Amino acid sequence: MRWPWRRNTRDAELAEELQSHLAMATEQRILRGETPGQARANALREFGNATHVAEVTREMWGGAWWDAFARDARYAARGLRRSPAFTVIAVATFALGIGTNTAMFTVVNGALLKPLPFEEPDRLVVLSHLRAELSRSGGSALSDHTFAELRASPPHAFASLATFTPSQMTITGSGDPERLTTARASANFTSTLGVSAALGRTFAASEENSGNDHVVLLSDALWRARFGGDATVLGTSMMLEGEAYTVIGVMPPTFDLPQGAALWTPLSTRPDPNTFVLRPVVARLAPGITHEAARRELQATLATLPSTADDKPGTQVTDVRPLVDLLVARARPSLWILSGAVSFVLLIACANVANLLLIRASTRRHEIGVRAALGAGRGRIVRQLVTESVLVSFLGGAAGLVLSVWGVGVLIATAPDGRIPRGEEVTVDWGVFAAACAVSLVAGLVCGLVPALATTRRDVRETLATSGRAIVGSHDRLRRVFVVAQLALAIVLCTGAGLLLKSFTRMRDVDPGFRPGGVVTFGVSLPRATFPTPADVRSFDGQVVDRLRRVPGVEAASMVNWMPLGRALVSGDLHIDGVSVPKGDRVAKLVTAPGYFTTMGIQLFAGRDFDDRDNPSSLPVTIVTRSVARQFWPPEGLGAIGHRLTRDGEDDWTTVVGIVDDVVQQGVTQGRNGAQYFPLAQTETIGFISNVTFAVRTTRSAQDLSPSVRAILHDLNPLVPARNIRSMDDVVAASIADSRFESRLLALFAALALLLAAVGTYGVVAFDVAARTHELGVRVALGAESTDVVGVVMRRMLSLVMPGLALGLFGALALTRVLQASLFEVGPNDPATLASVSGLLVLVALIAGLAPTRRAMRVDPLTALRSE
Amino acid sequence: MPGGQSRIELLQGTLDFIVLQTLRWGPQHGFGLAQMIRAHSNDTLQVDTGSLYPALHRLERARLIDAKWDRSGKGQRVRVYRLTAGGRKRLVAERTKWERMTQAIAGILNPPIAEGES
Repeated sequence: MRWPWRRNTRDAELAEELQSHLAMATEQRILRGETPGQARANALREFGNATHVAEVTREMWGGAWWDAFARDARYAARGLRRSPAFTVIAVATFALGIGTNTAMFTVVNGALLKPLPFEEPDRLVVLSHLRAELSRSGGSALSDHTFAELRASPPHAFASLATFTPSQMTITGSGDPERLTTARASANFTSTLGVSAALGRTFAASEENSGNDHVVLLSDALWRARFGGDATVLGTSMMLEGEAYTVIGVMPPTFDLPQGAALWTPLSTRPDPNTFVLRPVVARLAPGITHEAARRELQATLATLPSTADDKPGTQVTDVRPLVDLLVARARPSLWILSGAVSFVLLIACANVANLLLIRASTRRHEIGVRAALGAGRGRIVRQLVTESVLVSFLGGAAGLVLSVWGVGVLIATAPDGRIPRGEEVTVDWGVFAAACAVSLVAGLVCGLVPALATTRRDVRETLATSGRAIVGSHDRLRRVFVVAQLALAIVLCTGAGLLLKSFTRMRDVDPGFRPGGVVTFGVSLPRATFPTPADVRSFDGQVVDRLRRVPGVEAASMVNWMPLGRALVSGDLHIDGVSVPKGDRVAKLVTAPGYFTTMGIQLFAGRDFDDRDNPSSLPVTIVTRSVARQFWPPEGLGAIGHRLTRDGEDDWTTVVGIVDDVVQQGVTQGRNGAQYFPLAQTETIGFISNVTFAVRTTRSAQDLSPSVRAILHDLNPLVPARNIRSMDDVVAASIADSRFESRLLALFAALALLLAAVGTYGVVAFDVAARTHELGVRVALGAESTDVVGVVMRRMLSLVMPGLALGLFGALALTRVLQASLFEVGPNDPATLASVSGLLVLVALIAGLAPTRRAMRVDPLTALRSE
Repeated sequence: MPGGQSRIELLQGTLDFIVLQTLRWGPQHGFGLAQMIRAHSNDTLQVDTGSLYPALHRLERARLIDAKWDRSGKGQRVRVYRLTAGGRKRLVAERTKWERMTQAIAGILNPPIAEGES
């Protein structure tokens, strides 16, 4: 058997075999009459290069590649141990490059690439028929009317059609009341996805109908947290929104649609003729149907349905998208951008290591020359050098993998909600491990091959003739290309990061129209079962405000239905008595208790706030924002006071009593909203006031205040929990958290890129100075001042930085457009950003060149010349 | 010896055949084989060691020949190769192929004159 450990015996045998050949050849020549010395010399010449013969013969043995590889690896490991500085820098560089990429790939793989945990997920799609602008912003939904009509006569392309809607419910009974993220789903939702209950059953078709619809499916997480994973929970009833629901099943732990849903209740799919609700629609494609075919059939069908036939052509977008889009549509572009950014970091790292290897190879030219002279073929030497770089890349890859496990944890922990979808799938698994290995291998091969080929191109004789001294001009161009490329890539990344950071700063500086400092808010939802009439709701809300005002440290307290930067907002048409308002001019319709504007720090320009005079039987009043007032009563809008506007209908008139500042309702990048406020005391629409936010202006922190808040609510009704007790500052910060996360992450990558590029620049300039010690010595000996020496080094620096800068700026101009969607009040080619990035790069390059320059200035002509 | 590598590729099939054919005369060591090939071909074929030993070890690995250590007439320890049964079988097959090949090449070099041609 030919085991690797038998190699040594085989090697010895081969040597003996070749030796015996030589001996016999010599003997034969002696017999022919040559002198022993002559005979030996001639036999040797005839025999050729014994090392080479042994080598090519060994290659015929099975497993020779392993043998050769093991030898190369041992040799490489010895070489790396001999130069620890090189090894540490190269491994660390690869670790950064591969680590960031592995971390990013882990996220992309988990969030975007892994199949969803449903049966045949490729056949699952979401249907959408929306106004163009809604569709563009990533929405996917059908109206409830369209869904009902489609389900009545489904197109052949779809085997099954289901719908669901995210919701929230308060659970009471066993344990503290808790506000849960829940979902309502059509009865066939789980069967469409191909998922069955882990315990019990899923919905029956009849359970969509009211009367039968008080059944609930639990998520695995809720079942374990709230019911201790007890199977006897099936058939028992639990209290949701103050009503009893029967538990019919528990879903498997992997079932998480919509994300974070703790439970599912049936959704009635019979549409209400008076309303129009958009909901996501999930469909399973019939076997063999492509998305495009399905889209065409859907479009054709929609043209015949009563609810959609009258849509103006061109205004609506009909789409059939993979189901995964529903989860990742918002995160996908930024994940790809960040992936691109880390690939730049890897490229820079590779260029860095390639350069280090080039420099290392030039100092080892003599060694390589000797090996070539001893009979190693070029392929052999190249393989040797590449083995070394691959060894380095795998060491770096291993360190990078560790780095990425840690990095992914940090990434998930710091990412704002929803920025990294499917977080539970984002783990370092075998796929990620394989990808890291592949990246390491490719990086090692590429980095090693270029310098290896470049250094072995020269003739053996020339190499030996130049003795051990490194040649200044050798591979100079290749090294320069690497450094210039690094600098250029670093500039592109820095520009991207700069633009995002500037956008983020701009967002932070937006004046929201209210003063968030010192405001604490919390949400409350009042179940219809406990608070059946608007009067019940008003009285509860009013009592909460009263009690809050009496809490020590509270300066003002009030409530609003749709809080600024909150999730919900209702807008409506504006009707003004005696003024014709252009159709489509919509304003936000908000309900507040007295004192809201003082509490939030919203400026009152004219008139008065709501107060105790406004009650259900007094004159209906309203307050409008300044932009609304100015639009219809220019120039200052003061004329608005005393005029009449409707609430929403035709003649529910309200009189304007005040004008307040406009407020950012939907997001700081969306601008301020024109709005119309109504007093809580005069609001009869229960849907408007059963989900409200209380605001408190206080000297205390949110954390400090929350026990008082909970106590007040518990006192008034133990079944109503407060949710999200937090400062308004936090609300504002959370609303721009995506931007902060993205800009900081990109800034981190850009900083890594800059660091690597600086190290690369330093390496090349330092090597230059070292290699030109002799030349510099001569210059100094001939009378050059130290400023001249600095000039030499600086010119060299500039010859790297300037092309890098030019190329980088060019690349930035071409590439930063992909950031457009994330930019706010900053153009993708913002000149100020480009200028500061250029300045930063020059500065970093100068710092990188500092040490070599000082070394150059200290060159002593005598030593330099003697080292000859 | 630069270039040796490419000559192996070039000669591989032929050299294997020549080695097997030569071993038909009896077990032989590497040096002896080189001498015999040279003698049998009237000094036309000079097999360099960089091709011969890889060929021997390759054939050994393919179990067409096997090797054992022996003493030469002068007491020198030598590695002696001989044909295996598989090697003999392969040789017959190769021989037929080669004879057909040489006939074909001869035919190409000296085309028979077609009848009826002026």
